[in-house]
Amino acid sequence: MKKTRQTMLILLSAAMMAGALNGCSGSSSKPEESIEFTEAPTTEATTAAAGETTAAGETQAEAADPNGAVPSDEGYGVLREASVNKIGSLNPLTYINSYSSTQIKRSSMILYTYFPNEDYTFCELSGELAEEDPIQTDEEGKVWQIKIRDGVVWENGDDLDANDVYYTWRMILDPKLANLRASNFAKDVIEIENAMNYFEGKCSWEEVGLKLIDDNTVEIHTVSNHDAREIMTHLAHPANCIVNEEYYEKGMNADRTETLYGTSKDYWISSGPFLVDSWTNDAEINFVKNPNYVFKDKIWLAGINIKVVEDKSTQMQLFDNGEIDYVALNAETFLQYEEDPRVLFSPANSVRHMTFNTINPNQPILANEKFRQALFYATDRETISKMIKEDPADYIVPTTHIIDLANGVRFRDTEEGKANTHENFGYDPEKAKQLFEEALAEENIDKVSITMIYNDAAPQTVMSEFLQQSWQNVLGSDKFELKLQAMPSSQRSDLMRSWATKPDCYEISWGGWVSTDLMPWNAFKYWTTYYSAKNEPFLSEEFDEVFEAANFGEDRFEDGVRLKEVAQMEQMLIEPAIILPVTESLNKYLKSDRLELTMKNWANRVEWGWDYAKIVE
Amino acid sequence: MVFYENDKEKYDAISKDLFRLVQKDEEIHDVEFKTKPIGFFMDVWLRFVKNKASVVAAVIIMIIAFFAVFGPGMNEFRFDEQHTDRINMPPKVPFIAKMDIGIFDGGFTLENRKYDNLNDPSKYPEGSVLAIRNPRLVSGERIVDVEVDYYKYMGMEDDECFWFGSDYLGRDIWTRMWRGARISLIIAIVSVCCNVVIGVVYGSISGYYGGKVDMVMMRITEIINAFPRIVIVTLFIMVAGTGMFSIIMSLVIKDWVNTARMVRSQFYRFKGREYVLAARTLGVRDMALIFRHILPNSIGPIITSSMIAIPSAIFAESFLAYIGLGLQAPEPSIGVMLSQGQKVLLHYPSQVVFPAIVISLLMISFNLFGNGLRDAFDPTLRGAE
Repeated sequence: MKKTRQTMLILLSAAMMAGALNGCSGSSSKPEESIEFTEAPTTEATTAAAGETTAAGETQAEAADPNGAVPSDEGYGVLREASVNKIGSLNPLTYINSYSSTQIKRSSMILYTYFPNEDYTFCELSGELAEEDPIQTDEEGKVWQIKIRDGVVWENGDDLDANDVYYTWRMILDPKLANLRASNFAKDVIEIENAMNYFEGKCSWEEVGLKLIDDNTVEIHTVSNHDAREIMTHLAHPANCIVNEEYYEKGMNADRTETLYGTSKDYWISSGPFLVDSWTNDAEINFVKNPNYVFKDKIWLAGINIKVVEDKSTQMQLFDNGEIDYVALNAETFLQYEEDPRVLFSPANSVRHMTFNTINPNQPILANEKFRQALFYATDRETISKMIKEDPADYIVPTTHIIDLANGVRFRDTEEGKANTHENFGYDPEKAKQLFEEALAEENIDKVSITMIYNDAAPQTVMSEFLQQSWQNVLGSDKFELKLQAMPSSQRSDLMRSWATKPDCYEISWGGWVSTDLMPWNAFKYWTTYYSAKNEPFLSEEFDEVFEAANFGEDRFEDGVRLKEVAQMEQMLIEPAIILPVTESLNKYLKSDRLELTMKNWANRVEWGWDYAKIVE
Repeated sequence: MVFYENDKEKYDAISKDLFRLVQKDEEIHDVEFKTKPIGFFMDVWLRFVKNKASVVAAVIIMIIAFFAVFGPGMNEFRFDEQHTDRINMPPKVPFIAKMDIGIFDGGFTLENRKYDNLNDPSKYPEGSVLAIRNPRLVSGERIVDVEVDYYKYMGMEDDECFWFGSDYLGRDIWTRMWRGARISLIIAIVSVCCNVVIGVVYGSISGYYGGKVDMVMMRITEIINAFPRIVIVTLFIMVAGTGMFSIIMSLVIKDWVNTARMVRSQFYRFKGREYVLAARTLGVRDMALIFRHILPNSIGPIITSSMIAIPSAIFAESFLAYIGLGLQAPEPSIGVMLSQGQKVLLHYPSQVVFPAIVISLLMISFNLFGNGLRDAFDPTLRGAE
């Protein structure tokens, strides 16, 4: 017995030592003299599966493309994805994250959407269910008719026509259902006449500016004058995907306050580019190509398989084993693949920023403009961006945002956009120190101790812990202290948004809004006084006026007007440091050779166009 | 069998010459023991040192405690000192590196590198490349895994090194790990001490008085024990924020119940003994009876259970830190380091291996040490070996 125990102890010690040494081992072996390069194992496996043998360095150009010259009705090959997100619901009127909206778009029709352009270099906004661009029927540009395409059908063969669109609109705004997306539909890029009043129970449905003209035509009445593009952009939002009346009503509860639509295969019917073939909640979803899809000639894939894999390391292993076709890289994984030719970069269309609770009664210094500015200038954005592998940002409008769509001009490339940036990305320790001292004097205090809440995951952990020390170094650890409090993302969001009822809910926190990158003026809605889920107590009538002018003003289409207004709104947020931009998010993906992208580059809205890719094996 | 017959005459007839006085010329007195007398604790000690596994465990605990106290001061780094241009460095100990045995030499494999860049001294300083592995073509590009001396690769001087590597902010893992071990030990010991104090007082009163008092008090412990720990921690964090206080309180609020139950059972065992009844008859007050006469009998089980509770507390703290309910940054603990290290396990295993070894050693050692104490304190095992 004693001997067995000793043996066990020795074995245990040996195992632990082996683990330890494995963790710290470097090899003393020397560089090899001659190196022979062969095809990577995954590619070899792929070619072997296809019944071909290729020598190292040989191209496969002459191999026949299994996809054929044009996409077949069934398509070819299955795109395999892994996601950390779960799809709780495919109901477009209630979805809560952008990942769900991607899946909704894959299997639903929508009036207008973004397709890759002809040469696959950019996006184009055009009708999917709508036959053509909206038709202006009045002189002012407030009444628009939309013609619905003939021959569009649901998965079960039923016609999808203007009646379905009209039903969807009514359900979005239904006061009893109180859908999450109702306010956005009522007023975002355009404001629909009386839509918000109906949602709030102040008027009847007949008074709402949404009309059914006939089986193929619907009509929209807006509060302000608009152009066709604004109408199309508004209706291209994923929340406006068309729902099926039969299935929507089938899932409705008795008092019509909730529906099971989109919560399982039994309460879902597809109509978009792909059909939901099978769906295990929180585990897996399979799509197959819709042979009746209007633009089936744009879709090469036979289907898409998505597995829910919450652990990033497991996702990487699935990719390495050739079980998924692309994988998102985080900062640590990216370091291992930064020179890999398969890496794709995808701007995430938002700027990570800090936001201040300026009405917190326990921290009156947060209302001090000089104090906030001091933090702005004390932030070393370049170092942070190097650590988390993103781009430094001392601005709010991301670089991908296009201000002049006709000429493809990005806001950040304009003189007005450049004027809002700072030397050294705003990092100026001396100025920060000076402003901080002035703020202390104004507040008549000697020391500041504030608490930052952050998500308990990278990159916010890295950024917060870095700032904790660097701010103290710049402003003086005897006068400034930053405490950190980690919490789950959802808890942090809820806490931030409770500032109106609980003014001491937070002091400093992180934020980042995703916005329409082809309409930078619309991206500022998050800071208007009437935005329903505001992160910070910034209430400025002056800001609202500029926002209204940029989005609904009479002269907004005139040359350069919007550009100036966007620059002005950005300045109004940056100069008094209402928010403190830090980095511009940048997604990184690793793509397998099995997947051939039809997009020639990353493009706004369609990004890398995964749905339009080909499987080449 | 009859030893003595009731026959007086028979015995009277025996000659008196047959008898002699044994100590006629001697004074009768006690004989001094030839062995040294030993007390209870010496007896425990003697039996404890015979258990070699427990002694080894005690030595390991002392070594870890030594490093927990002095380890963070053994190099030039502070636990919160960031080196943002030295992030995720591999372990390097200069004298081991010179032995060229392939460990602690700052070696690291850079995966998926372009072969054509290897000759670029701005990317790979001279002497930084140790080996090239796994050459392959990826999307037509020549790709290799490059084994480098990461310290040279990062342009660091030979004498600059992180013994156990650095983390995602370039903080020294050696310093953070020992400081973390210190904090884990402090949390464990403080919480266990609090548990013992509360548990002993509560269990003593409950066990001594018995009856309705005992019934009510034990029902209260059952209610407390029914609360899930995670709920208690979450509530404390909501009220007091994350930090040592919340963790200690969450460990104290539930765990004293076990000590109380154990002490109560000891009181039931001893309170009816004769010496207690005698003391009570002589008018000794209840408090004196409890703390002077009965409680000392429970000291062995209390010490043993406390020792066994320490690794549980360390594990509980690490678990809470692991799920993100740990200490506030930048303060490290073993659990915090494991939580962070696990995220980069595949790429920087050293960030999780060292804290994992320390916590494993602590857990095993405290358990073996506790077992040894239990055996040593157990009077029924006296002379069993």
